[in-house]
Amino acid sequence: MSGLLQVLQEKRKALEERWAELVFATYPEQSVAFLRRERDRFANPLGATIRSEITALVEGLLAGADAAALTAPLDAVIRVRAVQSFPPAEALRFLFQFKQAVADVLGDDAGGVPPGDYFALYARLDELALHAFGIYVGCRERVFEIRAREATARTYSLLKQAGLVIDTDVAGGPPACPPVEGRS
Amino acid sequence: MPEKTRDELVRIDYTPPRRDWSDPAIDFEARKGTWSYPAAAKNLRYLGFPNPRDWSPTDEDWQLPENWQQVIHDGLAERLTKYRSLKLFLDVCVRCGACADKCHFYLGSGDPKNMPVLRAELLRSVYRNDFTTAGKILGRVAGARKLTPAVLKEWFYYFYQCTECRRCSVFCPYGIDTAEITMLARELLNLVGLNINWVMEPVANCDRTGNHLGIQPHTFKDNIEFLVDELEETTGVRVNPSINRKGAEVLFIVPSADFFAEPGIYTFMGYLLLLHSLGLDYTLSAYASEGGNFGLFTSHDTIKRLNYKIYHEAKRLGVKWILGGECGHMWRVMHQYMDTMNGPADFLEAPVSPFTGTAFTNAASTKMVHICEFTADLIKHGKLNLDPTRNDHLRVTFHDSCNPARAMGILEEPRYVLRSVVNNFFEMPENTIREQTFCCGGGAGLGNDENMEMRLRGGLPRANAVRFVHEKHAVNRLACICAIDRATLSTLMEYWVPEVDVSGVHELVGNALVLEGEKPRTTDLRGKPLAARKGDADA
Repeated sequence: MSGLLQVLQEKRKALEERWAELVFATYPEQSVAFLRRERDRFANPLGATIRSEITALVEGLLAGADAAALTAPLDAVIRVRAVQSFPPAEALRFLFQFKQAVADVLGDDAGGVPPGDYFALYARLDELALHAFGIYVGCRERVFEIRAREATARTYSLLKQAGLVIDTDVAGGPPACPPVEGRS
Repeated sequence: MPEKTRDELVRIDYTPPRRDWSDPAIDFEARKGTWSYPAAAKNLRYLGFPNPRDWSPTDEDWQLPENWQQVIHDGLAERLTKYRSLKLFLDVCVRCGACADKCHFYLGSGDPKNMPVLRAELLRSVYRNDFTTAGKILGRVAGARKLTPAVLKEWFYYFYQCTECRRCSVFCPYGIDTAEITMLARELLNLVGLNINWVMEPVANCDRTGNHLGIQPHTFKDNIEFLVDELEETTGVRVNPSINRKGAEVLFIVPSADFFAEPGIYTFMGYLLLLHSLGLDYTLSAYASEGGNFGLFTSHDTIKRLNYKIYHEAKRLGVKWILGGECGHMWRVMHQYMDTMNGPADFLEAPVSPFTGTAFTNAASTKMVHICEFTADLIKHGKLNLDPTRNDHLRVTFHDSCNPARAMGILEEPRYVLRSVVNNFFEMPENTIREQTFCCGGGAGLGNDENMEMRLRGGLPRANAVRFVHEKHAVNRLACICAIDRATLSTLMEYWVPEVDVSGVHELVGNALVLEGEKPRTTDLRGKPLAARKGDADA
């Protein structure tokens, strides 16, 4: 019996497919068929994001990439789920569904896999999960930051006249578009 | 506990428990971030709307009038007689599903009740129950539902989750306009005092003072002067807009966010530079200081009441015609309601550009011209001295704002203007622009901060297309012709594609416009340095 990663590499398509299916199943039943069916990334941004980023995550996990290297695909999925109607645990559940996807695609092959292989792969998944907490919290913080920034932007010129905003533009010219981070 | 085998350990069920999604009950406490605060009692009192009170959707008791079911029933009966379209829309839907996956809120949330067909079904089911024979006899079998408190709460939740953008109607083979269904459902909700403050406060302020924020005339004037000072600093040219000036040829109406909000103020600066360079004889008004009309999100009577101010002021000032700035729903009102509600404006003249002689025959009845039509015509006739290299630091895409695109067909004019004032213009994918454009997620009064999560979900399809052109063409500026877009797309971008800023089309016109007597421009209207140009180093 060959190692876990090798088996999973051979079944990579099925693994991606199964994982995506499990993530789709976290959405309302009536919407799953659409999320699964529509492949146009602009007509179905949610389904397309889940599919493409899961493909990237599977590739990374099987290739032994460390968590930081998978920030982009992780961020793309979490950024969406962080503003959908999921409590935090449900928003991040998709990562742990990887284990079920692995079990499902291995089927009868599961028994022949050396336990150490699972340990190594799932240790990487754990690292990814820890990284995911940070991304999730970052997304939620961003929601509140932009709420605060928007309140200022709405009456920007009035606040400016009243001397209540300080521009970050050190050149002293007219107000530059405030930078994304730390808008005044 | 018996020891699990290794196989059992591997086979853990990570699927969350299924929930009953057809249950009308909404847990407002758990869904904070996806609904808007109710209207403050003072605003309803000022406007003379029913049932003013302090309440919250999280309250068990919404303090409805005792006979609320009768009020809604009678209200629906009245509207079914009054609006033939409503009866048709409620009767004719065959639930083909063409609209189902076209709503930005559905695409971003996956919540089936954000499918336009299901959203409409919330009202349609009650209509069947109360007004159709099949519904009266067969009940749920015929898709009928009684109007219970839970159903009413569901209405409040989902009809204030529709931005009335009308994308779904583009795909309906019967031409059902779900925005109209939302509008009528909101009218019914208003009858029992279920409304949101982000709509009713601007309505009250517009009615009383003339603009959304309730800015009084002296502050309005101070603010314009502040922007004129800023412009002088950037360009070396002092523009001189007039306010409430009788006898001007043109009354210029803009959405108020253009003179108060960032980044709308830069669009306003663009207008000022353009009109100054032409020497147009125009005036602003402190009385009609709002183009936006949140009556559109309230009731037909309220649209009329707020819109009337524009013609009233045009008459009082004795202008010949009206020029309108970059606004979204403002133009839906101008194009589709103004003429029949408050027109015909026989006291005005059919608009003719004093610079090109072009007669705007499309506006012959309303007497109101969109500034993109006006500017495109000027460019076509070579009346503007433009230097598009001043926008070379920008790589621009264009978001078709829902109302100008779908409600009045302004598709080519802003693109023509953009291509004349910028060198780097890139379209987003075909199924996300023009008539199929995706909403910003914050229109129809939903652009408030307490509703932020819903807005970010609804904005996903638009942001997804922006991200595509950002990654492919390094786009860093999203241009649009709507004040709500300028506010809400900025927020969307900060969350989804932070490398992209948002602006109006006329901000970019203002950057490119070469003015007589100006100083060499080193920055754009935002104070951002211009891209280095050939020959700059030698100089």
